Amino acid sequence: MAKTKLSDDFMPKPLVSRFQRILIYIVLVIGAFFSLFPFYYMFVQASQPSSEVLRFPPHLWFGSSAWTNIKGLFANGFGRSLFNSAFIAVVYASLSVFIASLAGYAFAKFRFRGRSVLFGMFLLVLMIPYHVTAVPLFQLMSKITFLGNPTWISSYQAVILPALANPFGIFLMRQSMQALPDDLLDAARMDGAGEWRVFTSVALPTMRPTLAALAIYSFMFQWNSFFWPLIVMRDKAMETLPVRINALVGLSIIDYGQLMMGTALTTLPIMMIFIAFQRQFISGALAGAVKG
Amino acid sequence: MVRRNMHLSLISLLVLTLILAACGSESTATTTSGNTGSTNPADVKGEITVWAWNVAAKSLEATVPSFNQKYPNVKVTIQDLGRTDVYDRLTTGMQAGGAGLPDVVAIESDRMDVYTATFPEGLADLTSRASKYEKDFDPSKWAQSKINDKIRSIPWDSGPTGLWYRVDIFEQAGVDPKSIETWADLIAAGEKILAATDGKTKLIPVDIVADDAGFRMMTSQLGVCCYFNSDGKINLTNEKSVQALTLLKEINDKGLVANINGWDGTVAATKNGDVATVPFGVWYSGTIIDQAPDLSGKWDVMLLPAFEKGGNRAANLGGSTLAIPAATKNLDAAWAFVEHALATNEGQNLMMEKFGIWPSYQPAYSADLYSKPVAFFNNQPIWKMFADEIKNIPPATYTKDYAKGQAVLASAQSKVLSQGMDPKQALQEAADELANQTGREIAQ
Repeated sequence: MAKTKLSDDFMPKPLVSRFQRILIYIVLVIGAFFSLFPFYYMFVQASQPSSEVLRFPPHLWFGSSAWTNIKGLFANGFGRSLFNSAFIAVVYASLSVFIASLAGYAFAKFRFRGRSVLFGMFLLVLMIPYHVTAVPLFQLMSKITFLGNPTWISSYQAVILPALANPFGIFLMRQSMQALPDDLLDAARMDGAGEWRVFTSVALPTMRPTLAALAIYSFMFQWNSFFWPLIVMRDKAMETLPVRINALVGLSIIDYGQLMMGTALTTLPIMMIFIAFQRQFISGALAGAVKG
Repeated sequence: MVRRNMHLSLISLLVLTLILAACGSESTATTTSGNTGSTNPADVKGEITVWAWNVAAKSLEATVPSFNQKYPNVKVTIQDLGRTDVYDRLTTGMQAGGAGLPDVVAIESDRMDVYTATFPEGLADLTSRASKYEKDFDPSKWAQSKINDKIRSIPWDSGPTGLWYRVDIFEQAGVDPKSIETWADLIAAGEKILAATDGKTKLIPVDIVADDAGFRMMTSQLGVCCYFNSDGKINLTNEKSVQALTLLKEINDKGLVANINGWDGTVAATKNGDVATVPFGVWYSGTIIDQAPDLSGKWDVMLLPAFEKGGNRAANLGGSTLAIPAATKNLDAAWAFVEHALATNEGQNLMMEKFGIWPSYQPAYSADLYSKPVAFFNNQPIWKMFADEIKNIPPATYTKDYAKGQAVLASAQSKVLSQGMDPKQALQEAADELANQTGREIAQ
């Protein structure tokens, strides 16, 4: 490294030379190719008839069966499952983010008896594998007759409620809320704001990136969730997308075209959400990491 | 402070326990089997739900119109599910004392023992209704449905095996399929084919690390399938099992095995000419037609080659049953549906014709379709071969530890084929491992 001369202050030298830059671009293009090709290939396969998907050498350009595959999927309940998945994911994301922010705020900003024990219990829940709770939870759902339902099996609340107080979300919100200066909250209180007002008008707005990240995380969690919806949503009209797509895998015959199309259509919303909110997603994840 | 915290957590624990205890199990519904259901069909009423996987579900759906002609007052809802998804739901439902279960459920024959051992009264006892059909069904399948002399399911489809082979590739290599009678003949043919195709086309596909289907077919052929004997002892160190694994090793050592990855790999190898033959159940016909439509006329099938000239060539791989969970509220309607679909020529042949599901119900074979040539399969009357094969299939034992056996055997197979271990030693180790896992004795 040469010592900087005066002229460099006026004409800053690029950090990397042209040659290095080209090299970096080549590496990036290769990296982008490897990350994007599987997605491209998924859409190519989704447009093939079932008998062309496993062909070797594989097709690299779109086939003509996209519409047939879509029709086949929708003829077998895909539309209803799409609605179920979207409804569950949106309601769950909104409610669980709300609850996590309330709980995180309380854990971070209020001193009360048993705070650390309660918080510890929440973290403990993170460590229980979901297989362990599946059967007792299912029994619970089959016995609840709350709200007039004869049972909660095959109901939206059976999927939404059990995971609503999400330990990871509460943990994330607590870590972020801790970074909030107490003085700021006290200032609001001095100005006569009630606790609720302090929370909604002062604490929440500063948490926006974390809230967005958590919302996306919660949405994806439910959108991708497979095992619990499989167990509890026993009515075909209540099935979610992953369960419906898996029903395409039979004993000896699999419609690979529909399978790929179903996978592509299920991945698409997640990709769009990620592209639309990627800034929040990354900054939120970083905020949690750095401030933690 | 610490003590107070302790109190708090103790209280929450107590509350949790109370909640859990409140929803503790009631006793499982017990089975009724007195009624033989021979009343007027119009009196059978209600709604029933049926769970089956994909194509099987479609085939059951096809029997609903004719069922409703006989039983107009039963509404049938068929739900299609992924293969293992059926089991996940069934198991949780049974663990929860029968909550959320369907009225009829499809179970693969080799999984039956898992359910009847874990939930002895979970599936309805069908003995009084079904025993009159005993002589009509594939005997090896019927034996699997009968547990402690009680019939807990009705055989649906059987998996008589065959050696599916490419007519055009055989021709190209100058191999006459009719000349193949023993596995030794087939290996010689495989070497010719490998040479004629410049090493592109191997003989058989094997998922070396994950699936021992070939071993199971061979042991079924030799009458020692699968892993256990009828006393429930581990049955791997016998001469015949060693013979089967040794044969696989020989095929592999000659470079005739295409090592594939999972089901999709088998299908891809079948479709792309990576293998000249596929030893599999009759149900593979549907897969070939569905996945390789452009190879119409180029596939045919023969019985598996024998171990020695004149030896047994019949074996079974796969197949499934329909069972009725004991928790059903409408046993009569559920039975009526199962009886119509599985114990009539009409029901079984509808499923056979449209979806290639091979009936375990033998009277069905009298229909015309079993003697007709099949255009896709080299214009040969291939169904006749399978119909004749059924009665020669040796019985097999599965037990509830079948899945463990499969995993242990796949690993033994991998040691033999990939690392060159001696088959006898690998099977001895597999038997020891299985004894460890299951606490069963090893048969001498």
